[in-house]
Amino acid sequence: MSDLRSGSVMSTAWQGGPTATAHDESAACTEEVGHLPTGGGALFHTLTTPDAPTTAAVVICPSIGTDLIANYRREVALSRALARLGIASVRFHCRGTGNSGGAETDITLSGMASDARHALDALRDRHPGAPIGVVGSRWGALAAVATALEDRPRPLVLWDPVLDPDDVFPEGFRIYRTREMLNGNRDAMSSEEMRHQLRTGGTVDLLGHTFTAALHNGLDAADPLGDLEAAGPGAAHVSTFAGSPAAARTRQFADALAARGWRVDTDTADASANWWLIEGPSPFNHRLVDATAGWLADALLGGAR
Amino acid sequence: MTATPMFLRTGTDRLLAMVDTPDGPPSGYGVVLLPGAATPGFGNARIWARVGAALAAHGHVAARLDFRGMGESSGGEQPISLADPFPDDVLACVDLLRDAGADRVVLMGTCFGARSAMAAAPRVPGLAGLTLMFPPLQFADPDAETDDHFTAALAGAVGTGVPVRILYGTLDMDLPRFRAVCPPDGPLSGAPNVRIDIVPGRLHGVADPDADAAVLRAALDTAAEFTATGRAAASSARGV
Repeated sequence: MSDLRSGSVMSTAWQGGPTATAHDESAACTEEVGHLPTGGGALFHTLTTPDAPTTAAVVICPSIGTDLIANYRREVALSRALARLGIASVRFHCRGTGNSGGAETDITLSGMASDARHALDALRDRHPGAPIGVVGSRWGALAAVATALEDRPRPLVLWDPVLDPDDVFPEGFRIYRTREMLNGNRDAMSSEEMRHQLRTGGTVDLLGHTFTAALHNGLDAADPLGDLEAAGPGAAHVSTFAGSPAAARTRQFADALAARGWRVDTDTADASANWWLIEGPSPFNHRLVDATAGWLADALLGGAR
Repeated sequence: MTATPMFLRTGTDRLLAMVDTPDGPPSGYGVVLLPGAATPGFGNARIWARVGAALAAHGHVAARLDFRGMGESSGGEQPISLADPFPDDVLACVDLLRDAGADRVVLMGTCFGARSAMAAAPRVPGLAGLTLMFPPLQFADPDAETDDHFTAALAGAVGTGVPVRILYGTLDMDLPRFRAVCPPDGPLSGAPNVRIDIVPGRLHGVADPDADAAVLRAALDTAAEFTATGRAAASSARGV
């Protein structure tokens, strides 16, 4: 056996392992956790199946970086709330994050959309014929849009979506610089230097997470509004998080989408929008979770509910 | 290396552990990796996921735990109190590792995970060592008078007699309070099985590349130390 020393850190190369299954009595559902093979690193996922006959299904697209942690339990709670309504769901960790394989430096928006597609396929295999809705939180919004537009527009929920680099990076840069100032680092990069770094093919580290030019520039080039308009009218529920830097753009996005013929419901969630500083459990928000689950049930099941 | 999800039962809670198992022959050591409050088992900046993979590559079985109310585990909005950490969750994970063939167990934790490791340590059979990274005395709980809880839990951990390694960064907000309650010449810091490492920077939160590197280094170096110590002790006991 080789000597274990810090110089010999291996890269993470997960392989798909067996699944673990547990029944949750309070949510009246079964949760099945495992990895999906993707060809580019195993995708950690959780399939939640209601005890009652499944009437519909939902793909929940998560965020990355510290957002993933900040929103984690809201998404777990959402899948359990959906189960109580007879709706199955799948959650996953994008490759390069969480318990999935892959490297953080390889995360791209198209890769996140591909991950969502794998999760969607797993859900469809399990519940063939069930109507499917899609949820995207923060960085997961664009993956959710891509998944919602596959075939025909599916009911789409967005939680404080990141739709533009300005929704996320200026705040991240500010917090990075504040932290470095507190650390006594007078050589910390300026916001402009970090922005330049991202625009020109480099990477920046924000609170321990690596963000690449591919991710930044992909977000800059994305046109979710155009994509949704081109796909034809559908139904969306857009939640603005109070205090989020993305709030104004989220409201503009919702208005513009409605102007393009989509049925858009909006609300403002009193949820923590401090996406960068994790200092304890994020304040839970039952109203956000219940409103999202209820809207999805109405959109997917209509009068059958 | 294979990462396998496992559900554990403790009381009314059901916890998820991701278990990293070696492809080659197992060393007989298991390592429980414990994240901070509100953080799933992969840890801040995914640090425990990388540590688990590295430990498995060296023959150890590692388990990354989602505490109750966190990650994929059951539980609702769990109040987090430094005075009342989750040792039973740690013990459930220890049982899992023993079932997986680990006779000796190392506990490693960051922040709240370190506090839970301290609380669990006296009850862990076959304990081989403790790695406590920036264990908080007040972080996220600024009004709490937790010094007594902290020193009692640390005394219990030190009393196990196994190597205890404590790591702080010079800028970690808990360091001054730790130094106040555990002075270098005091009974805890000065115990022969205790080593305290203070490294430059702010480690709490693992929120920059230097902190990431320091935590990774401490995790792997202490694992190497504890398993070597354990092997030497076992050899000695066998008269080898």
